[in-house]
Amino acid sequence: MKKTLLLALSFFALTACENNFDAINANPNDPTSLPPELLMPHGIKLAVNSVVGGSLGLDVGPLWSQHLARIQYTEIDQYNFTTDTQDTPWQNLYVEANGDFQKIIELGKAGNNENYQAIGLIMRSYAFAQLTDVYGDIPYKEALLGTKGTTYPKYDAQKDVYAGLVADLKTANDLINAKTVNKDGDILFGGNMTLWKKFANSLSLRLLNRMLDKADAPINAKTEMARILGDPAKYPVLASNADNVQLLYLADAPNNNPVNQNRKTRDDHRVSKSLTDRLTALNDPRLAVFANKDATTGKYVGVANGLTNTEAGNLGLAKTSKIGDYFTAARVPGVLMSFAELNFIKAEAALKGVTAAGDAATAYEAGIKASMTQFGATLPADYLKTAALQTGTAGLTQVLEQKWLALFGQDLEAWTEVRRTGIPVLKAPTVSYNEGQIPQRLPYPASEENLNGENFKAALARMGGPNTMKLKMWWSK
Amino acid sequence: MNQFSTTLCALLWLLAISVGLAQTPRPVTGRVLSKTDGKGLPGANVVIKGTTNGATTNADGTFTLSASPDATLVVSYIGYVSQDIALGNRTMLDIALAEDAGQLGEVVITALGIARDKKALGYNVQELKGSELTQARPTNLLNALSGKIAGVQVTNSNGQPGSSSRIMIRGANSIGNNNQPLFVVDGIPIDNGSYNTSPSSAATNTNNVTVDYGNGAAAINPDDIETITVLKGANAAALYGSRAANGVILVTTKSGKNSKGLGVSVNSNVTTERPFRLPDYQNEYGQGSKGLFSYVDGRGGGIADGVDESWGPKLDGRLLPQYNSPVDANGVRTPTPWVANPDNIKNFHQTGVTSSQNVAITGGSDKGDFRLSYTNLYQKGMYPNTNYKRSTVALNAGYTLAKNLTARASINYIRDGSDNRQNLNLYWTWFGRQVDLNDLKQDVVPDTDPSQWPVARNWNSNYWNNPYYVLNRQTYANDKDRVVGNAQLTYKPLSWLTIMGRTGMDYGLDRRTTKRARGVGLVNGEFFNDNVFTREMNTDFLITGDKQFGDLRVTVNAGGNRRFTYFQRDYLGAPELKIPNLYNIANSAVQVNVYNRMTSKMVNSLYGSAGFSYKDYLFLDVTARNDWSSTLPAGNRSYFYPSVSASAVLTDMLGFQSSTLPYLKLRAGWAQVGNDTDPYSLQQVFTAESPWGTTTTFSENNLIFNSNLKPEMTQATEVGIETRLFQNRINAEVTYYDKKTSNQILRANVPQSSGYFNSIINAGQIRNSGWEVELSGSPIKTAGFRWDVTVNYARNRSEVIDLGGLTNYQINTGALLRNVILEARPGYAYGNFYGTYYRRDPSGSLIFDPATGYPVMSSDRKVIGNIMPKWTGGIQNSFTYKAFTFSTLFDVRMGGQLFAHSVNIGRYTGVLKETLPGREGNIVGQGVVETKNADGTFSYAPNTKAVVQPEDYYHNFYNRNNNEAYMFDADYIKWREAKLSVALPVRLLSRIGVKGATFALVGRNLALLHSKVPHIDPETSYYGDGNVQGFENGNIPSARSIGFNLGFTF
Repeated sequence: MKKTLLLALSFFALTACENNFDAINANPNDPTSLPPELLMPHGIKLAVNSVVGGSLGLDVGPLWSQHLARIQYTEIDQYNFTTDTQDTPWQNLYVEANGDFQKIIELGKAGNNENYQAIGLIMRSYAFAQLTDVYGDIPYKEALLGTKGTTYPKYDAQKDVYAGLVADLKTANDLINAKTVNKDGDILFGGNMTLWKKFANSLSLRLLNRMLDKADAPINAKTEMARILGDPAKYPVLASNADNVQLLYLADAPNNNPVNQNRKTRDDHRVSKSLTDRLTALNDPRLAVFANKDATTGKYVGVANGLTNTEAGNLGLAKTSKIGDYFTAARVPGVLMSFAELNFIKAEAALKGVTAAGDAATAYEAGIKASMTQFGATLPADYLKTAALQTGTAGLTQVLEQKWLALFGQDLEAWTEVRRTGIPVLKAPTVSYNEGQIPQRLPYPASEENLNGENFKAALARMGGPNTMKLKMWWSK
Repeated sequence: MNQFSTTLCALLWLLAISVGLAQTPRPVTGRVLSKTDGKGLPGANVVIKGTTNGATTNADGTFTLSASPDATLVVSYIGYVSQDIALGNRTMLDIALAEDAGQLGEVVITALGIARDKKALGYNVQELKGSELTQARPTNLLNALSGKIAGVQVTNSNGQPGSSSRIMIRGANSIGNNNQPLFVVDGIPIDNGSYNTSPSSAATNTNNVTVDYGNGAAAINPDDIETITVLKGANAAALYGSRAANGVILVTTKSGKNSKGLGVSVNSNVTTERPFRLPDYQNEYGQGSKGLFSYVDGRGGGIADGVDESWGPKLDGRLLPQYNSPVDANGVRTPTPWVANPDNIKNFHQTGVTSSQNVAITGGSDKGDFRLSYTNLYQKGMYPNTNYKRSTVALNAGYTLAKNLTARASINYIRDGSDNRQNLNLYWTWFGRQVDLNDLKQDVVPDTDPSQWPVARNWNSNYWNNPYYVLNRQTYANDKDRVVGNAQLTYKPLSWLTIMGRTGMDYGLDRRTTKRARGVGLVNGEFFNDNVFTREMNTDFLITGDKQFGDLRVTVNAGGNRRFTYFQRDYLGAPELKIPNLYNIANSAVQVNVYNRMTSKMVNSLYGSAGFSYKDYLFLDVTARNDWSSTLPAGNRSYFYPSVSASAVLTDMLGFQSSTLPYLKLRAGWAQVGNDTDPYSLQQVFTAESPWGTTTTFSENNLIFNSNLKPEMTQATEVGIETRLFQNRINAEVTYYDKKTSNQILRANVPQSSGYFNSIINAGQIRNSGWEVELSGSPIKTAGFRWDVTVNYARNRSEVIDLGGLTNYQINTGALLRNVILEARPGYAYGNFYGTYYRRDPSGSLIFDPATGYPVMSSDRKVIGNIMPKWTGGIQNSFTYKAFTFSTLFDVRMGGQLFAHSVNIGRYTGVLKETLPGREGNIVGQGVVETKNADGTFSYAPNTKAVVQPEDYYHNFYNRNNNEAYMFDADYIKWREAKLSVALPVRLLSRIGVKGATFALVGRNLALLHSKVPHIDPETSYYGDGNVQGFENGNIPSARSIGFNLGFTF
């Protein structure tokens, strides 16, 4: 009897304690809500780091565009690499960067600040653009909805991703208004919304330029380019090097330039012979910026891409040119898009009949000048004369060659352009794990194969082959 | 309601129940003794027949009660034959009880510390005596269980002093959560966490472990252990609730009970350690590449001198410039002979020494008892400047406060830690075989400015620091204070009723300091300060009623428990130092890394059990428990689970007991155990990130939280047979179990394109079933000589039945070794290795690329192995001749695989012996080449392509990314223990007051009798004691230890 009573008593005592269970299980460490600007530094940093650092920025971009070559552990220069090369960029761009940007868009909507929505949209578009250019078809419309119940997103065809991004970037441009954005959180532009507009429209031009030759493009690329270039007041674009879209890194880890961080402990890279040969042929002053003289002979010695480790070892670390000091400094900016690049886009568009792009030669020369200024090189007096723009195909080749040089440091973009145009003509290394061809893409990460198998298979079927480096991008077909 | 008020409540109950007790006639005192040795039996029941009045004997067996002269006393004690005694006119009496031969004194401690007669149990329980743990003792208590108990698998992580071990009972129940048993010391659950995951990676849910700080239960001092009871199944553990789903290890510490007067014991144990197994290296070729080497700066300035592989020139005594060649006035190195140093790595290991000294004082009187013990353990590692230290003070005391009211408390203070837990991962696999490591002892070039360190002597400066420099100047130290204790009051108002209230705590504060001087890969040095604080409070009460009704004995328990756990981790890191070698966070040259985390959890429980015993041969137990956990959502936070078990002693019941078959028992049980989850799994939160300069930064969480979680449920069935044969010469126990855990709470990976890494879900079911056999016997038993043998065998089959629609669940996340995935996959045993493999023709021959002559690796991945053993077992033999005893233990594990990364790298780099064939060039790989025919089929022809350079061939044959090449069967048979002990003649020592003395020669891990893994000890775990098992990564090798144990009692 007593026992039953006691049991009952204690039952009450204990169940009463359930009342503060909610308090005990309330997380004291992490916030459940916050203003959108607190998400911006992480999202932006991770997006930029994935492109100028990590496997894309340190190896895939610079080696496969033959801006740089490996002098140690040369496997990746022969297109032989471990799976984290393809896993990490996907992971960082989708989860770390786009996860934040998606939330910034949501919080911008919830807080009635269109500018945060616009920033979220622009950065998300930038990240999606990198993803589709690296992998091909990607989850886009159904992506990033994990907390909204869509954990297994379908893949969209690359052309649809492109069209969607151009629309998103227009939406972003149109959303931007006079409301303030936190200066500290906006580590890209310090709250300057005009610069965000310029980025959005310039990025649109980059995407549209790649759609110009595509008959099956879902949108009319010429018309869209004309929309932007024909109305600079409504759709401003980069107007000088001062407008360059770049992340100004800080002096100390973990906020320093990833190349700087890599070179603290590694010394695996040299400038590529493909680069030094062209710069030397052009007598280009950027050679002294892009490369250091070697430590032994004091010459600029580029390294051929894809040597075996022994061949590279025999060349020697001290007898080959490292990347220029400019690029290994802690605070060297991570460039997302430059005024020079925009000029080369305009030059190409002009050559392809987009009248709003103006005169091709003017844009071409402006591009060269902008690039020289960007890297602190003085344009030699006769440079533009020697390199004067020719007509027809030869002219386009010149534009693309100069673009390839100007994209030094934006090496992932350089690889994309090489894949799209085949210019400059680069030779794949003798020892090649891609049948003697420069890779057309990175294979999808194993996580998608394992976890999102059906959608993954559908995407590959649409792209027309197995998950290899050989599958061509829509814009390079 | 807080801890204090719960305790107060418990005391109030005790008072409430004590009211209204009165007795009449005259007082009677007596003593209950064992007929065998004449010692008092504490806790024996003395009841006046036909009433519920009676008493329980105290520590020395005495009792007092009131009874009239016509009363008959029923005296009973577990393991002894009960006696009825007519009191008559006596007021003082001694009662000697005889041991019950049918029971052989098998009393075991069961859940909640309840002592039970083993024959009454409907489930399997196994016990180890403390004496089995002290002589051939390992530093980590868990290792002492290896091979001794059926179904218990212990894996020692590595040979580092103070390293962790994993223990698993009857397979893995949980796909993503803890699979190790609950540890309970004197009734109070303690923490067995290792917290080895570094905080920076904890934030992104990875399994990265850089340093092994040992597991919580490792620190329990064997000198203080009376018994260890292993509760294997859910039935045995049902009363412990959630955390007992994986079984329970009950530790009962020594006390002064049964002692009279003052006693002193001293024990000294000293062992030396040498590597148990070292790889078979090649000693014919030195550092370099393509047969070439010439040292200039170790960074690629010379010929292949930046290479840390052994594809260099033949070690034929030729003269070559080397890192230690003398440098002349012009800075030119004078070439020195290029010779082999076959024992360089063996000799790098110093002889480790482990010394453990214990002194204990016990005392007892009729009112109380105590035991006070101090133990000091110092272990010097096999790597220079590594060690482990542990001091333990244990006090266990009890006192009879008043008639029927006793108090008992125990407290253990443990301080342990290390000055350095550096483990030099993979140092000798990226290596030049010619290196004279002894020469490197001079780790810093003399007379150099410390700020210029490392101006170090080393064979390579591109990737590696001088190993002595690393051991001396890049240290991982920790210092941990731990207090485990409890206090309890027991009130026995009636002879059949006991009320116990208890509160206990496990408190731990581990201060970890990592000081790393600048070196290769670390430009400015670093300093980390990581404080890990754990506190677990448990307060419980238990009311026990035990009464005989004719032939039926009924035992009822009712209790409740409140558990409150608190965890805090504060981590500060200076990733680059301004002033070299000044280890202070304020000296950080860059932004300080911060990690700060606090978690709380509360679980309230009520439980009860009822046991029925009919004529002492038919038994039925039922238990029920309800938990309320703070970690689950309001609607699912209360969960109930029952158990039932029964046993029948057929020999007694059917009366066919004979000397051939004195004992035969059948038992069966069914149980359910619920489980909750980690705190803060319900609500979506943002993650703190390192700031951008001075700008505070957060990010969207990588995890999708779940506000609708339900508790996990394990259901287990167990049947068994226990028998003794041939005059108790042979004991046998066979158990079959089958358990399923469903509704698993998983952190399932989701496609990253969803914006998230993983999602907390309730899904999945895993099944484990198996057999356990325990056999023991005494084949020879004569007056002077005795041979005892114990054999155990356990076979477990695990199967992942369902993952709620997921194709697989990745167990290891974060940075992986060679991208080998460890996963759960429906239809397979838990813990598949999933990875790349060699392509083969239909007959199994390797396919080679005709153009290169290299084997072809798959472009996809498949299941290439599994971590679960098929069976485990052990054989213990003990031979006693007069005062001498020799005993040995063999430990067996069969089945399952291991990924050996050091073998992987060592073959790639040409340091291992198997890279010798074909060193002179033109290797033709054994296998086939594949041709695609016009009709789409394939035909195969022998490979004829010769590869000119052996380095190129082996780099591709032993492709680092071909995971299958480094999966090995993890089988082993180990000679685990050997002891030769002698009881020293006391006569000689009695003059100095010695009552007993034993000396023993002891050895552990003496020999590897069978293994299919080349080069390394197959028992290893790079990732420590978590669920990520089966990986090796060139850690400190495990140790063979040999020494002595000397014990005295005064």
